[in-house]
Amino acid sequence: MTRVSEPLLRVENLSKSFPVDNGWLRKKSVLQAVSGVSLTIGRGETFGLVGESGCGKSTLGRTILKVYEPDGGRIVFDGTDITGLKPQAMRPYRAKMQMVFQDPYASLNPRFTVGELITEPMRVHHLCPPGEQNERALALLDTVGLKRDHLNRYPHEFSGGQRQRIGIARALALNPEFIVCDEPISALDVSIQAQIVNLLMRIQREGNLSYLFIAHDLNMVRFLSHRIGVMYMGSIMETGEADAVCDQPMHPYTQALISAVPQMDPETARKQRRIPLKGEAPSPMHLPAGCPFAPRCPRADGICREEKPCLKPVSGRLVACHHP
Amino acid sequence: MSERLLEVRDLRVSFATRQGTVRAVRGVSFHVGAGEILGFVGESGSGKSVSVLSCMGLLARNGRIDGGSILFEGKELSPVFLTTREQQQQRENELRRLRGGRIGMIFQDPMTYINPVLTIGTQLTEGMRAHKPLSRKEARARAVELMRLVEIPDPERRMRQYPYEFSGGMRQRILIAAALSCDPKLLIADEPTTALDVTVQAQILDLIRRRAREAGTAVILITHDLGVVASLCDRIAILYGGKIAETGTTDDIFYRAKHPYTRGLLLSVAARRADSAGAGGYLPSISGSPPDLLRINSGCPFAARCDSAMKICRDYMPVRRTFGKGHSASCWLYCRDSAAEIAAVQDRKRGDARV
Repeated sequence: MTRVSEPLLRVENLSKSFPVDNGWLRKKSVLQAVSGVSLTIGRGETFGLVGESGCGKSTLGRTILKVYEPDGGRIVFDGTDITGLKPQAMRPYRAKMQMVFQDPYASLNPRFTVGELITEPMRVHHLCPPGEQNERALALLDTVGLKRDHLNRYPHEFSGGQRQRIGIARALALNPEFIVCDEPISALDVSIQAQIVNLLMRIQREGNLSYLFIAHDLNMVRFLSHRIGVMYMGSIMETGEADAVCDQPMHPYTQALISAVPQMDPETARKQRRIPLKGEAPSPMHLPAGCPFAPRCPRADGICREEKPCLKPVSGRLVACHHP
Repeated sequence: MSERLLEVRDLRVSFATRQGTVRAVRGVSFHVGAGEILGFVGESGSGKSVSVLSCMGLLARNGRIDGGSILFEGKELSPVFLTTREQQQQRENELRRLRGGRIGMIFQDPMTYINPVLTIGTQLTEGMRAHKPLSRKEARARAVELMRLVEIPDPERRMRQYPYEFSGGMRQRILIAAALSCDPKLLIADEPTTALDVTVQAQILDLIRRRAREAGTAVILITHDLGVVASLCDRIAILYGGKIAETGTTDDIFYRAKHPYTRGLLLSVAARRADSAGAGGYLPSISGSPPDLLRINSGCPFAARCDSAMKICRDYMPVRRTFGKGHSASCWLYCRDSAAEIAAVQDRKRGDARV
């Protein structure tokens, strides 16, 4: 797999929180979904983001696309700081940054035909003369492996895998350079997942696209990512080459996470030693002052409870831990 | 081999829908004994849940059991042999006694099966009070014990709380506690960890494993996740299009798979490790999509997606071939030698059906 050095996307210290209404006459609290995340993604590179539900991985993906307005930090896309851009100035970047969603049953308007769904982004962004839109939609159907006569059908006539292909064609309609894939295969059957992953990989090679691939299936993320980041309670705990992080995790959370992934091989599964995590994940509304993982961590001591560790280089990767 | 606690033979289930009859289960046989964990693996619509849940009388209103025998502890539970209304009522009562009593059940989404307006304590003791002659106090004591068993801290206080005060993993553990409350002989777990994170999933699977090993509970685990069955199950049945494509011990399935569907499925997940990816770094995949059960033909349901498909696969159903103790697969690759006879039998049956 080739690697390009100049990063297409640079995210620095990005934060996003949501106000939570606790009801009438009660104080509002703050849910810190993403706190101080930095990462870079190169051209043609796939960055895999893994973590358990509620860790903020989807929020991070959406904040990078400015679906949510970030609270702090910077998003630099292709050399331009897009963090503070007004909607009008943001428009050309919106076309270059697209998204593939998790649930292909919820993300397609049931009253649009496939053709209307795929040409809608072109109409919005005036990227293609109206006369050529249909032609382009047909070409996109070829790219994602659907038939040309599917153009006038409605989403309900398709299976989950086919709908996900429609979603991908729609994301590709504007020739994007960067796509956030938010759990694109977790709603699909096992035999269909491989098809969609192969499609995403082929499209990436043909168009030198960059992906932020969000998923909780560690095996799959490892397979298609160059680098991965492991998130816990809004922070990246460890990031580095996919194989290195999976084979020799350094952060105690990554170690516990990887030890819990079910092995596909019965022999290995029988020998598998799980590192148990004590307690439950903390509430994102009352994050601990120090390391978010400290209350469950076997290595935690005084400093972990007081000071939040930042990402530091440890044997060829970045680890946010006081005792790696 | 352990004694057969549940034995199902040639089960057939169909659903009447507006579009026509969906034959969701078409001749499925399986058995499970004490202390054994049987995995039912298949994609959506393969019939994995319907095969098991219909045995317990849990069918949607438009579903019916068309044929087959269901023996639980030697007692026939299948409705096909019953003729009078009285007998049917008797069967209903019998099933009601079994469910939640000798047969415990866990489902995928804990929130849909827990009543949000009743405390956890009330819901945990409800089943025990219905099935066992326990006083309110005894039932509560047992519930606290069960919550300790599923590792919920501070159970006395937690008993008085409501479901929304629990995390997803804890709710699932509560469901397991409820399912185990009457010491079931058989535990049916329908995608028990699909909605959970991997670290929580590992805890839940450990609980199920311990229960089978220590209390000798038989477990049927329904899932689409091959990783879960590899680490937990003793035997596995692979379902496709309402039929069992292949069944055997976990090692039979993972190391000596015979059916092209099993092989394809294993390849597509095993290769997720980057070092074993196929040509060009792509995943080996099974083309096409699962069959539409409304328009299923008389041949092998996997024929349309199978790389090894022959002409006969599309028209005739292969018979089951055995490869060793308990390992069998239904595929024409292994019964070609007697193709003419098998086809003749099926032709005759079809002729009879037409007359």
